[in-house]
Amino acid sequence: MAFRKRNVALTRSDPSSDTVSSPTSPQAANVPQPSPGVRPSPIDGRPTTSTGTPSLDAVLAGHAGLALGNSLLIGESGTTDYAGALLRFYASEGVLQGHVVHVVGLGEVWGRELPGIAESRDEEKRRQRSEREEKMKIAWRYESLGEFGGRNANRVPTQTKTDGAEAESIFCHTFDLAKRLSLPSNTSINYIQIPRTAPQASPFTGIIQNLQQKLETSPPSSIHRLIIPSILSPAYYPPSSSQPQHVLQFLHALRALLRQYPTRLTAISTIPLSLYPRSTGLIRWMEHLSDGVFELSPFPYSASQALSTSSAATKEEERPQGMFAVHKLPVWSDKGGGGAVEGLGEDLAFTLSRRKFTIAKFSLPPMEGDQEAQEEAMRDVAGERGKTMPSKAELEF
Amino acid sequence: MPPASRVPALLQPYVRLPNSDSILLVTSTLGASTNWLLIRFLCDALNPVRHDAGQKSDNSNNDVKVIFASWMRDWEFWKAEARKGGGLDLERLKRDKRFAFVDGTPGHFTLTSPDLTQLQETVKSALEYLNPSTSPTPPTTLLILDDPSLLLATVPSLTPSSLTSTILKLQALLSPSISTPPTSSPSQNAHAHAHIILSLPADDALLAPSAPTPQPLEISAHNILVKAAHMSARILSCRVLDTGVARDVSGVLRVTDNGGGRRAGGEGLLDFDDGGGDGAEGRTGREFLYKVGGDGGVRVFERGNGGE
Repeated sequence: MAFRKRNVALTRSDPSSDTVSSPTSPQAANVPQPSPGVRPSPIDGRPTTSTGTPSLDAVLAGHAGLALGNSLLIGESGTTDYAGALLRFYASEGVLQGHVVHVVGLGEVWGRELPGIAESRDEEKRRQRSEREEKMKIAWRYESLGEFGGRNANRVPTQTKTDGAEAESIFCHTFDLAKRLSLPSNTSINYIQIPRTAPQASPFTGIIQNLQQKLETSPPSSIHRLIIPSILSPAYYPPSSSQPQHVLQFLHALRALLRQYPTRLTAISTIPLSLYPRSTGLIRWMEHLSDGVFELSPFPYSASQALSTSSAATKEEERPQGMFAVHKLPVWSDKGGGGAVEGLGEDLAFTLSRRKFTIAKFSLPPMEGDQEAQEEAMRDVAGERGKTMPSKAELEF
Repeated sequence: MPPASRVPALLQPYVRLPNSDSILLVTSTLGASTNWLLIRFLCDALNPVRHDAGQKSDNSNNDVKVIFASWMRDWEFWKAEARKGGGLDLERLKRDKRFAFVDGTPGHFTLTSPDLTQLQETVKSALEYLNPSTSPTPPTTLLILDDPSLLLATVPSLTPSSLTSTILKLQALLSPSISTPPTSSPSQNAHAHAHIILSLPADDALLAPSAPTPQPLEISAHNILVKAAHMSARILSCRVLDTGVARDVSGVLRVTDNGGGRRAGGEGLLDFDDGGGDGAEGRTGREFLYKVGGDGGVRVFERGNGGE
């Protein structure tokens, strides 16, 4: 059985080459030397690429990355732009890996403000850790092999070689939102403008044509990322865009394009859910046409809460900023949605800090006294001992 | 492993095609796709040992021809899923003239436009390909339409009634008993039948028009679903667990027989082969839980019997 499964997964990419004709036919030759930033999924070997956010990669049904040929739709309610941070990481990752990045509706200013690599501590820490691991490995090897040093000598060089290769090609970088990415000279970011069209015409046809043309003219080994920030948002899109035939035809065409280039294209779009609630038919259709659907619901900001946790901030820096809901996962949902998936069905929360966007299981923090006590505490500047406050107030009155 | 054994025993009676012309409705929701179920229908219809199994009415129509039209998913996907989940080699079946695929995803284009007349023409030519006029006996034909309601969503000029009438026209096209007057010959007499499986999304968001002003999109989605449900002899609907996500359950499958199914054409009672499913039970519907494994295998079990 095991053999059968693997066989299937491997041949899946093969037949694609004969039907899709020219664009993917060299892909067979491409397999031995994969493109940068692409690695096979640990589940079925299909090529995946990183979203630039390690914990988003981790919720994608065990593929540990976004499978090429798939799209994500990230909805966000409220006025915050957490999803925009995800898009920035996704774009930066693409730039660093030498992928072709397409951005719809935003100008070069956005491209110049992409987050840069976070180096300092993290990098050092990682290096130290890997060195330590290496040492551990060697020690372990010596231990297991006992005094047969001769045999050991054969193995060590090969091992270090693979380790070296891994270190060179990082699948997912760590970014720092406060830093600017210095775009390499060969960077190709394609800014696709939303065309000003007649009220009844679709603004999307130009976008899909642009993308299609770029895909056709680029070398067959190039990997493309499509970024669609705040789709349908009136800030960027003309009113006619939210007519179902326009946006749904666009997503249908995009879906077909993703299938046409199953080893070269991924897409992430975000949508403002406050303007377009999930309970409407239009959004549900958009979700059906996307391969993965996530929803960010930021917690409302409240001053008292901020203050009450300020004391805890030192020890618990990563207070979640909102809930992260998974509605549909690429590949996995299309199969029928079975099997145990890490994190699915649990309450997930996200935290965005300067360096990372973390998605973790949500658990309520322990109560820090009741609300009134905290209100009192807020008035007091030294409101750090919320629990003792009421008694103090009683004394004063 | 032969394709037959890929169909769980509990599901077996419900993926067996009925013994007369029929329309079956399969509904999905966002988290619970029905692709695995369509594959199981394919397994049963295209199973090479089907006629050996000794079903009395199957002796003469061992040859089920399948036309698969998909607007949502491409050929590569179905090919891979059918092989992995169903053990079917669709490529070979295509060469053997037992299977034809109509690709509705733009860019691939067996269908170059969302026009319904073009759909009819394409199905017609697919039928001619599968069943050349030289063949002596007309085969049983199964047409699977994977989400034709996408057409309603993307083409504003299309109405739900034009889509349903096209579906009925397609059934007439497929039905071998078309040449005889439909009133005088109940199709049970013929050994070959025409079946259509409709796969439609049935999310709450599409069914419950949003207040205060429902979107035209929602109205048409609601409309087509209700129409299709009335036309269908059996409804198989997949949804996610109402109680939240469980690790060992992918979703709930509900099977509702349309009360022995007096179809719109008034063709009389449908004859399902499911043995146990008598009218009363069928009408109330049965529910199963299912789990799709990572390898494409499916387990179907009754509530409370899930433990392995």
